[in-house]
Amino acid sequence: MKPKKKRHPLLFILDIVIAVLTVILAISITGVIISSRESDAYRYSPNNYTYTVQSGDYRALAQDFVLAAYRPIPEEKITTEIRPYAAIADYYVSSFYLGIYRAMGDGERTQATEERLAQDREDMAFYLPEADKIDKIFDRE
Amino acid sequence: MKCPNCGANIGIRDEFCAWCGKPNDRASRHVQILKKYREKTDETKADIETQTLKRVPLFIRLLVIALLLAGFVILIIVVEHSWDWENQREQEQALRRAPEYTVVLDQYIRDRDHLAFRRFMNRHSISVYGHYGDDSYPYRKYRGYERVNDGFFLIVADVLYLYPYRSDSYQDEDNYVTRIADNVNSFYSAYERGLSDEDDPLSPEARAAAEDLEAQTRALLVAYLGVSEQDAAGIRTLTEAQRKLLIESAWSARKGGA
Repeated sequence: MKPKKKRHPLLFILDIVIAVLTVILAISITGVIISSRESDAYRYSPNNYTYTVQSGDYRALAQDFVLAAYRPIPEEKITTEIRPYAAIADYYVSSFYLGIYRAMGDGERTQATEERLAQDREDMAFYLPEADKIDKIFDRE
Repeated sequence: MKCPNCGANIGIRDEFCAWCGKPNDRASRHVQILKKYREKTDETKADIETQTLKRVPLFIRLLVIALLLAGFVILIIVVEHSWDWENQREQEQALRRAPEYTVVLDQYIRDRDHLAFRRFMNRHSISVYGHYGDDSYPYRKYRGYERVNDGFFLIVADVLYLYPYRSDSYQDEDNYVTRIADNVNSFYSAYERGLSDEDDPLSPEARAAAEDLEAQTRALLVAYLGVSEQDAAGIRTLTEAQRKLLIESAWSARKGGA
């Protein structure tokens, strides 16, 4: 039997370093890939918005769906699952606009906004009670 | 060489003279020396090979470590800059598709659909600032209007934040009202600049859209901050300090009334 050749201590240490670096790099790459996929999945997931609605943070919804200070959610990404949340966001912003158009005495835009609010109410589905809460925020019965 | 015994011509490696048959001592020594040198050369060669073979595994490991470290550096660069690269890609696309995009943006301006204009600009990462001094930059014409549009939506964002929490004692609503007043001042500064800017003049449609935003700002102050219609009508002519005072006192009066 051929005697096992003894590895030099330096080579042994380098092998350990390589193994550790490989594991860390693999974990880092996997993490980056997963987080980039999840951030999109999270953004377009209903779970992301359920708590926002429950806590009454309509402005956060409005920022994501309507106001879009940065990168609005594109229309094609609004699936039937997140449609109610988009409708709440739109209802919130449209309610705000309604106050402005009424104060301006702009009948045309007031009417268009009221029609939009009616459509949003339909799209809200089981979240319809949120519409009443939003009406209350803007002092509208 | 000459045979040391008979003087005949013989080769340096001939161990015996072909003429007299006597042994050639010099040839024997020569052969021994040659043999020794050959052995030494072989030893040296073997040593070199052994040393080289010892260093190859070390070299390979160091190379692998260097590659792994390079992998980390590349990963960090990719993570740090991916957002910028994506933005840059979108901006280049916006430049390529400018003829198509400007038609859409012009329509939003004509329709006074300020929010849709803003959403479109953000969605396609369109910047109104191209290369400095580049008059042919296709989105440059929106500069004045975009500044007014931005100013308006800063006010909107703050009012939308203030409103749901205005009765919440944990929120410092007065700070928000002060911020709204500052944003109203910024809006009017952008508006006046937009109307008179000779470098980036507003088109007639953009001017009408900017005027609509100014009317909406006044209506917003009336509807949501308690400013009277009469005061709102003259707000454009006020100084910044007067505007701030007007908005803050209108809000206080509204709160007191509520």
